[in-house]
Amino acid sequence: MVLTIFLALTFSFLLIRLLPGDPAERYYGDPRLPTEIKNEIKAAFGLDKPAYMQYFIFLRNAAKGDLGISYTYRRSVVGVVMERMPWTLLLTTVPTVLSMVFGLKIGTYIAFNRLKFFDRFMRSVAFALNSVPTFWLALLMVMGFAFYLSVFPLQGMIDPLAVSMPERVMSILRHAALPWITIFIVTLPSFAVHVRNLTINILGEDFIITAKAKGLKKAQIRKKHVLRNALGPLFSILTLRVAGLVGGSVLIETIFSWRGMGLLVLEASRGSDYPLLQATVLITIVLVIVANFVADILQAVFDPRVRYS
Amino acid sequence: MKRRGPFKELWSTTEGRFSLVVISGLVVLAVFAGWIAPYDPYDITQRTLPLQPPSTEHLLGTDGFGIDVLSQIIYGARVSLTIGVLVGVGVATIGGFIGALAATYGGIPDTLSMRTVDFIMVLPGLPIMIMIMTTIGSSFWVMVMIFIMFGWAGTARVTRAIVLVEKSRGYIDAARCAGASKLYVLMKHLLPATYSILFVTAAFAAGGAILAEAGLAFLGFGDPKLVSWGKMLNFARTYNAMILGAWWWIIFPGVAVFLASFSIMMMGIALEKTFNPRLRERDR
Repeated sequence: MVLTIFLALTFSFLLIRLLPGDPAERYYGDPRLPTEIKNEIKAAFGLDKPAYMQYFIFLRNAAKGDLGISYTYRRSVVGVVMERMPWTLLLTTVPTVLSMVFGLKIGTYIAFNRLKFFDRFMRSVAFALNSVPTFWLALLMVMGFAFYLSVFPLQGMIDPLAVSMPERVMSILRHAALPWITIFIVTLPSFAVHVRNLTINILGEDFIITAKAKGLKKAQIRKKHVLRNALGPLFSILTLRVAGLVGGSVLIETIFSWRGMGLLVLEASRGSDYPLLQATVLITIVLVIVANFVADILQAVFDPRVRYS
Repeated sequence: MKRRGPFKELWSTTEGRFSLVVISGLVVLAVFAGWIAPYDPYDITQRTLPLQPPSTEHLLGTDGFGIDVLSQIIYGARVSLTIGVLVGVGVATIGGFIGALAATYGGIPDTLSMRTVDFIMVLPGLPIMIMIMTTIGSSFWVMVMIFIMFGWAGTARVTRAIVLVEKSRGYIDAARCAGASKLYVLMKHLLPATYSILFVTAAFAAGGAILAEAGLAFLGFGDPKLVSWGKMLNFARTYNAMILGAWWWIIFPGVAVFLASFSIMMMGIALEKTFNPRLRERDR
């Protein structure tokens, strides 16, 4: 985990160093500035030191949580990114948790009751959704539900006219609904299919036969034996999808004008704000790694077998 | 039973038939775009009134610049298909080779390459791609390289697993006893064992690359000189096609992306079924 973050830091340092031109020049913008001031700026940012020293300084500062100053915001980039992070978390976690819960229900239900038609249908939808560009689906959702039917707001996160606390919360929920539904639609079928596969494997295990022999009711088997056993592995599937979910939020946030970390990546890119870009990407990586870590822990909590292997 | 040729084998599955028809259709469109497309999207003189709805003159309408949408889709197939093919081939060769090497030699090369694979697999691709393209510029080849860079890891992992299984088979020991070097065994016995799975992963990588290209182009990181489906959607969004009611400008490019990616992924499924007939039994 630490190694991964270290590698990511090194990579991003190298990438930014590869940029043509002088970083100090990008900061002060005007090349006609007197040389003394230029040198002063260079010294202030440590750019007068050799490259390897800069690298160590960069690592030391990163360890202290300092990734530099944004060219456009003119303040600490970490602060700017941190302000955006809750919005991205709000956007991605809610539909993911929902589709995990519903995926668990639907997946076990399909496998348990051997619903042939529904099973085929779910698997085909899950497969087809792999090829649907998510951003295009989001565009269609906006076009259908926000533009033509006017059920949801077109874009943004909150209505500026909402002042009181309950009003603000309601406004945010109304704005978040459509992106949530989009992510939910995209993730649910694949979760359901994974759970279905897991359940079929679990149903072949000996303890299910024992449970049946004991005369347990179907509902009890499903609840006590199948769901319990499918829960752990489900989190390992989650670890595979976290990177895509967080990374894909760039597209979703663009379409819904949701001012989270994804949109910040684009803003920084368009404004050539390299420290901000670097910090946003690095913090996104850290976020994914932490999320993976949490998913691993949850898996161990729900599935004691993992702890011993 | 006489072994059927690979083409016939593919044709015998529903997925295979569907994907062969759609893909060859798209290839024809891409190769003969100049003859098939009713207008040339690169030719400024062939522009007409902007935002015309679909009509007999412009089957899929025109976009905000008065360019025929159908022609753009036909020309856009070139970018998507080339990216798909290049990335598919690149991912399969590099991933397959590294995976096979790691499994045959074991030890430090193995741990090193598998650590790298683990590292790449947890990375959120899109923001990092954006960072790379912002710093070194966006062009067709940069995109291909980045996609291969992020794509090979999964293939390497799968190939390594297969080679490890294959390595424990008796005939490998026999070859080694007969004096074959590790490299010889790798090239002659182990790599051929992975070919079937490499074709499958290449198909999925190609489908994924088409989607990823569309996504990056949609965000404005497409090759500035080329007409592509993602770029059409990018312009549609930035020029407020939705508010202007130009649904044809939004819907059709997306359908094209879906069809291309879907048919190639279907091809992957069909290949999987032909290489592993047991899968077919299970499905029925």
